[in-house]
Amino acid sequence: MPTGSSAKPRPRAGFDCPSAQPNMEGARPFGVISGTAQETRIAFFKKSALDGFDWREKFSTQDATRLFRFGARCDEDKCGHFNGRTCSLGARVKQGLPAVVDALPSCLIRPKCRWFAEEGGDVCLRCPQVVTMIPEADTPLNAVAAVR
Amino acid sequence: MPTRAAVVSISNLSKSIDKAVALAGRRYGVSFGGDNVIYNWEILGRILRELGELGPAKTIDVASTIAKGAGLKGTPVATKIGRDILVGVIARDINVRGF
Repeated sequence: MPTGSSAKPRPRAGFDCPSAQPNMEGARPFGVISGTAQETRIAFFKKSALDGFDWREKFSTQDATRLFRFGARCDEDKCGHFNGRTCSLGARVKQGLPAVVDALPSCLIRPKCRWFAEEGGDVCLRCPQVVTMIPEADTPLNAVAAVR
Repeated sequence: MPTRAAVVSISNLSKSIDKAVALAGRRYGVSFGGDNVIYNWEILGRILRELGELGPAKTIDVASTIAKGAGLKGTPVATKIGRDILVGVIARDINVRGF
């Protein structure tokens, strides 16, 4: 089990997107948005937290990304962040955002996460500040998230 | 200084979602209606286990949460018998009145 940013990614087919929408294939929440309005942070679900939590009943619309982070099957060519080979958003998160935790979060989707597979544990140290739906503003997160 | 990411377990899921709803309200000016999490009855035992040793106040809290989440009307009750904790709701329509 990796415990630091030096953890090596494990290349694997069928990657998951860690910043997905709830209507994507294989979607499931893996964290809830926490922190403050100015400094949001993801609180990561333990596996048991999802037992008996029927999130689709009330949180299956796109607005749910205001509350949760979703993982889902990576859409690859259908996504503006996919450059044909890798996810450019994961690379920008790693390069453009500061680390906000000093140990890999306890994350349910890491084994299939495209960002982790391509960028390694360094991106996991930055991931807790990523919120899929962000208000328009001039912040580093908005700058990193813009499709290029 | 960087720190560890927070984790959410089954026992604090409801509270975490309530917090996220309040936060979304501040960030986006939106509101979400109703109760946020309804626990299945069969996982109640696991919730109680995760909460650890419970005093009377906490067991009543659990009973109240379940009653509210399940939309049950009545008086939440909880009692400890040996190592077992019994929680439930006394429905209003079977309350005995007017002797």
